[in-house]
Amino acid sequence: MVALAETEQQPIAGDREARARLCFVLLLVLLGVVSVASLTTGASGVSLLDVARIWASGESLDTVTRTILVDIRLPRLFMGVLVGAALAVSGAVMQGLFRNPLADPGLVGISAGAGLGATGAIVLGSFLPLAFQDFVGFYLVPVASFFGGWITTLLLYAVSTNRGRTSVGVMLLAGIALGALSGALTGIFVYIADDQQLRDIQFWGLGSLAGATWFKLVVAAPLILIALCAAPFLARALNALALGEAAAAHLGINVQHMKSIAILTVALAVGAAVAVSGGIGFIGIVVPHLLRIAVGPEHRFLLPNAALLGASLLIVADMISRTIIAPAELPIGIVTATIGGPFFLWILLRNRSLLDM
Amino acid sequence: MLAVRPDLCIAVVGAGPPDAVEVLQQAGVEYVVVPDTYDAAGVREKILVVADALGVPDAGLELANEIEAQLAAALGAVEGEPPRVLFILSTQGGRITASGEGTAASGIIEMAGGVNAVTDFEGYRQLTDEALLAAAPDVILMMDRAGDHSAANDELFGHPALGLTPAADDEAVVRINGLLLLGFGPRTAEAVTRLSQALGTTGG
Repeated sequence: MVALAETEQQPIAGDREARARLCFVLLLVLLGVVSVASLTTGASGVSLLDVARIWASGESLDTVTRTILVDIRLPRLFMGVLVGAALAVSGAVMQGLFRNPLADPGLVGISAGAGLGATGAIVLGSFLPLAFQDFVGFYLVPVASFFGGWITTLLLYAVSTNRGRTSVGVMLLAGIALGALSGALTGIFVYIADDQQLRDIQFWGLGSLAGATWFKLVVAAPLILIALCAAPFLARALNALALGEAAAAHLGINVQHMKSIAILTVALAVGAAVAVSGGIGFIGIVVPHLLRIAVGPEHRFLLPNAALLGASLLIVADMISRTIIAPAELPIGIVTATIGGPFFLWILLRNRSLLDM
Repeated sequence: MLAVRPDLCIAVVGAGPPDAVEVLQQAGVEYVVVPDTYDAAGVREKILVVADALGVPDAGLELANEIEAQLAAALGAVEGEPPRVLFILSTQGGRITASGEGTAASGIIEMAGGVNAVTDFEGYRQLTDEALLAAAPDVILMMDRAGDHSAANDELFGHPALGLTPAADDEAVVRINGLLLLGFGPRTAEAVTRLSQALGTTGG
């Protein structure tokens, strides 16, 4: 008998898990660093070093500095973390659900519906009775976009669910149809809009974290956090779904149940994110792909890491948008697309063989 | 446009697209471009050009002189520090879109004796919250129109950055009809008078 040499073979699964844990820690550190950097940069030049110096000398901060840090930069930071995490996790869930690398959160109709709601509110808002306008005020557009997104998602869900089974294929196609319809309606609103409203619509579409107040955070955070907490429970189901719906069902996953939860989770997270920050693209697609190259397709590792990377990316984008053309502000959607596009292309070119689908 | 068979087309500078303009001119329609600069000389120029195009230069000259006199009387000025005025175009979505240099808003502010709080860029752009604090406007100027353009004072100063400006301390918000304020037409003197009264800079 030939004695087989005992080669110490590391199981691949263990390899991946170690990498994923390392990745998580690194991303956590990155998020911390980026957050501190974000609090310290801004058009006004107030930096944390200044704050440290003031505290060291025993004085308290003057109102302006305190407002800049506490009322302007801090809520903006938290908003960036929440929105970035929401978009990235939703993108990962969508890509798992549709088993399609091009899936982004907008596929459930959220973006089209939210855009329609926001555009409608911007253009038609002036026709509402003045008393109502005063009552609703600043919140008309975010609320309208949230409901617009939800109504579209529910409509899409209803269309693609037949006799208790949701077909993702039908959802994809119906999403295209609904997207076209809402695009047409948005076009009509754009047509009747005046110059000022056109400008508002355009910039809503490009996204911004400006005007992030504690109030907005208090309203949006619970919604996004609920969705982010629900997402990890979908991880095992999404893993199984990669083998096909039948195989997943045989593995004991309640596929229909899982689909409903996934769609609702994405609608909640993205709906709230888009309502408070407008249309920010690219994070939902790029982040999951970047992470798959590092940690593989295992959703239990992918989803938490996606949240961290999405948050960090959005904070960096926000820092750039606030300072690159100060005192003016660049819409954050432009920054994410400008960075995301070429970077993603570079990653793809480097890993073409790895990603051959 | 050709269906209404115009004899004369009076356009503001920058009207287009250039292809459409060319087609109009080729069709034999007389096409006159009116310049649009945001000061007293600009208003005079406008009146004279339009009067010329309509074939009534004498009436035009009379009107131009009349308005020039009105404007000269209305121009605002103040001893000491002129008030810093920030023209806000829109506060939609928590973004403050403000006027920099070279716009109708900055022109009328200067004519009324104020000074534009933001001079670092041209045109209407979104201002970062911190830059808004640095600009420290004494007065906020907005167009008076229904809808989100005229956010109520509470909401306006509920914005974290706006609430800390010197304007917030006095709740100094001036709302004037958009066309009157920015049109730079025959009612410009009235606009200047109303603005300078609101700013407290009357008496040139």
